[in-house]
Amino acid sequence: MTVGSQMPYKKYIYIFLLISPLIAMVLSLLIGKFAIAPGDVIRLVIFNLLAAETSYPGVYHTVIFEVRLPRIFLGMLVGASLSVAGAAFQGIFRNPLVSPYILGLSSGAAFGAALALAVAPQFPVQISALFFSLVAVGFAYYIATSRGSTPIISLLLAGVIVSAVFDSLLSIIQMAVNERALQSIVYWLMGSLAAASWSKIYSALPMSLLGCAVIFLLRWRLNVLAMGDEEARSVGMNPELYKAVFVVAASLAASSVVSVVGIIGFVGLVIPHMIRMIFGPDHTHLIPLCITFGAAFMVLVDVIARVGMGFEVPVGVITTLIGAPFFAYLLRSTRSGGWE
Amino acid sequence: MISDTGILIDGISLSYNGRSVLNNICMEFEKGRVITLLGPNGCGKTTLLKIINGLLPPTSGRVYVDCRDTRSMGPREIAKLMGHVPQAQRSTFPFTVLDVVLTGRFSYISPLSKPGKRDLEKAYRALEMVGALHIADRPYNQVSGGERQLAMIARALAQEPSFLLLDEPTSYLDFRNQIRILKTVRRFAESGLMTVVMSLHDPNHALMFSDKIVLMRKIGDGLSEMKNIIAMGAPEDVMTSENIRAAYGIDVEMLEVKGRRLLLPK
Repeated sequence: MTVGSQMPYKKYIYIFLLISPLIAMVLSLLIGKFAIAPGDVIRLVIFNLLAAETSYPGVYHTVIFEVRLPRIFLGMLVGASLSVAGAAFQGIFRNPLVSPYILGLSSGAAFGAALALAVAPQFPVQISALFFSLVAVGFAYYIATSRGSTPIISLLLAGVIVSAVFDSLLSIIQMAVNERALQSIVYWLMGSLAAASWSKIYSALPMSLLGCAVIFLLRWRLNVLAMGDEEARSVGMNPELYKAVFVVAASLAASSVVSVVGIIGFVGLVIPHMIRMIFGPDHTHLIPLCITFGAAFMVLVDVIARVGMGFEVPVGVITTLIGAPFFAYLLRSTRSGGWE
Repeated sequence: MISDTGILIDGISLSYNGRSVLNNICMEFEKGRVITLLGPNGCGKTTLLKIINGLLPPTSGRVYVDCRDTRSMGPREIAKLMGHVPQAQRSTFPFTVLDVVLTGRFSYISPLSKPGKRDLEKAYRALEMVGALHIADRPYNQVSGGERQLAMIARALAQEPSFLLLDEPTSYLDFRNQIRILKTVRRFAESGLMTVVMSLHDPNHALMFSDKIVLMRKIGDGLSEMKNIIAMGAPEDVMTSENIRAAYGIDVEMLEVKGRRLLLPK
C-alpha cells in the first residue's frame, strides 16, 4: 500500500514510470530513418497543433503525422494492452510466469491470420485473427470449467491443449501454401508495428480500451483473487465470477492488439514482472504502472526495431531480445524474483 | 429449543466420493462462547467449519446463524457475519501483511473501488488486536508461520464478524504464540465481541480455553461407527478417558493440577 515508505527514491521512479509514455513519445517522434532535424519536428508539431500553415515539404508532414505518430500510438496501445493483460492473467493464475497467451490466444490468432492470409483472402486478416484468438480462449475456458468452477490448474492445462491444437492447424496451413503466402504468415507471426496507421489504431482501440478499463477499475479485486479461491470466497468474493470477468477483459485487450500487429512476445510477461519487482504485487499500483510503462517500453523498443539495424526488424523479435536478458538480470538480482 | 442468536447446525451430512464424512450432525453454539471442535485427523472438523461458513455445500442439512439459513445469504453477507481463518495459507506474490488483511474488507468495498482510509484504519486495528502491527509492511510470504497465522486472523477480524471460525489456529505456532492466539480469541469471546468456533489438535488447549468442546471421531470408510460426535458440552464432562479413547484410540490419564484438569498420554 505504502509506495516508497522505505525507499524514498522509489517515489521518483514511480512518477517517472507514470510519465514515461510522454518521454518515449517525444524520443520516438524525433528519431527515424528519414532525417528531419529535431527542431523541425517540434516546430511542425506545434504548427500543426495551432493549425498554422508551414513551409516545410509535404513529405515532412507525412513522415511525422502519417508514419511516426500512428506508429507511436499503436505501439502504446499494444504495450499497454499486453502488459495489463499479462498482469491480470498472472494475478488470476497466481503465477508470475504466465503471459497473455497462456490460454491459446496467440495460437488462435496465428491460425486465424494464416487462414485469412493464405487460404481465404476474402476475410480480413485482423477480423479472422481476432475471431480465432477469442475462440481459442473461450474454448480453453469451456474445457476447464466443470460444475460451475474453473480451477486454475485445469485452465492452465486447457490452455496448453488449445494452443497445441491451433499450432497444429497452423502447421497444416503452412505446409499447404506456397512460399509467398508462407512468408507473409511468418512475418505476421513475428509481430510488427511497421504497417501502423490511424485506421488500425481506431479499429483496435474500442476493445482494447474496454478490456484495460475493466481491469483498471476492478484492479484491487485482483489482490483478493490472487490470494486463492478459497481465501477469496471466505472474504465474500465469488472467485468464479471475477475469474471470468478478468479473463474476458484481458483477452479482449490482448486479442484486439494482437490481431492488428501480430504476435509480440515477452511484453505481457516481462513488464508486469518488472513493475512487481520494484513496487511489489499490489495491483492498485501494478495495473496503472503496467499501462504507462508498457506503453513506453513498446514505443522505445520499436525505435530500435526501426533504426537499430540497417533494416527494419519485426518488433516482436526485439522485445524478446531485450526483454529476455533484462528479465534474467532482474530475476537474478532480486531475491527470489519477487515471488516464491 | 432454538435460541435467538448463535449457530444452529441442523442435520448436516456430507459425503465425499461416496464416503460419508459427516453424518447427521446437530448442534448449537451459543453466542459469546468459545467452542472447540476436537478429534483426530480426518474426522471432519475442517469440513464442518467450511460448511458453517458456507464455503462448502453440505449433502443435506442446514446451518442457521443468528436464526438465518446460510443458504439464503449471499457471500458478502456471510463474510460480514462470519470470519473464517483457513488452515493452509499460501501466497505466490509477496503481498504485504497489510494488503492481505485489507482483503478482509472485500464485502465492505464497492466493486469499482479500492480500500479507503476507513478500511485502512480497520485493517490496522485488526492487526493491533492480534498484536501484529509491527509486521504490517512486511511481505506476507516472508514472515514466520506464526505471524502468517496472526495475519490471517487479522484478515478475518477486518471483516468485523460476529463469529470467528478458526481452523487449527495453533498448528504452525511455537508455544508462546499458541498461548497468545488462544488467549486472544478467548478475550474476543469474553469481551462479548464475537463467538469463537475453532478446531484444535491439543486436548489440553481445548480444556484450558473452551466453554464448550465437541469431541468428534472419524466415520465411514469401513468403520462401523456412523456417529461423528462422541460427546459435547462443558470441557470437564467431555474430556474423560473413555471419550478420549473413543476418539483417538489411545489411553490417557487425567490429572488435576491447581484446580485444572490436564490430560496425559499413558
